[in-house]
Amino acid sequence: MQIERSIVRGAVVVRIEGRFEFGTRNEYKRLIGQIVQEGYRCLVLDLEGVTFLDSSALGLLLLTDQNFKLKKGTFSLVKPTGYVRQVIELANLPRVIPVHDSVDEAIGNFSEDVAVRLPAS
Amino acid sequence: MSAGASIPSLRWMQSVPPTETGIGQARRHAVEAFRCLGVRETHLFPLELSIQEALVNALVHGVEEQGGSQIRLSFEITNHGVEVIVEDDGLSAVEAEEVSHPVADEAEAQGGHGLSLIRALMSRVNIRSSGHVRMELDFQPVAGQVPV
Repeated sequence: MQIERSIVRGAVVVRIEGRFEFGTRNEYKRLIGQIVQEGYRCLVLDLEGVTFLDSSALGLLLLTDQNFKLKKGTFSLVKPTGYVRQVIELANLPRVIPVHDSVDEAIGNFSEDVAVRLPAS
Repeated sequence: MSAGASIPSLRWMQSVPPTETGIGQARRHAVEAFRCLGVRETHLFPLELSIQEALVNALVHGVEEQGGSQIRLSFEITNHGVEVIVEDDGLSAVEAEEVSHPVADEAEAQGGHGLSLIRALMSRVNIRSSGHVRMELDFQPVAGQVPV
């Protein structure tokens, strides 16, 4: 699994490529832990390049959503495709975590100066 | 192969090293075997995902939590579909309602989608326990379509 991270208008955009599953869970957990510590309030996860997703990944997506909601932030997914999209829908994830067609749509009106991010608690 | 042709039953079995690397390799070997045996491409994802969920469950619940030491993966392809069996020698049964995806801490435990995914993708799921845990998964393609 490859992970790329960027900042757009104060939101963190994480792009995952490859398999997001039990065997790659620790990489994801480390990254999200860092992002939460750094105090970002908007996380967009681009899943367009994900080729395989299992229930471990689903659990981590829900946990991420919890973490951001606790900090009054937002978490959303972008463009899961093919079977990955099917798995996400089978698990009814879109009822809990918004799914968008593009990063721009996911970020929406969010805009935050990085200097005024809420401190991590 | 025409829909009316009969294929002999094809069987495959592998002992799985009870580690993360071991279950990953076993899953890949099973998928390669499916491809070599001509299983349709559209059937590979549900089979691979179901095998993944079952193997991870055997590793986490059967081996790591219940002290098991062996996992076995087997499948049989027939005219009707594919039957996959994942067995581990963990000490106690894994109740169907308790099977969840593996978690490292309590906070992750809210996932629990593993068995739900398997049930959504497979035609039949049976979990048996008599000294060891055996998960039987049946994949039957749509009527009139053979798996290969």
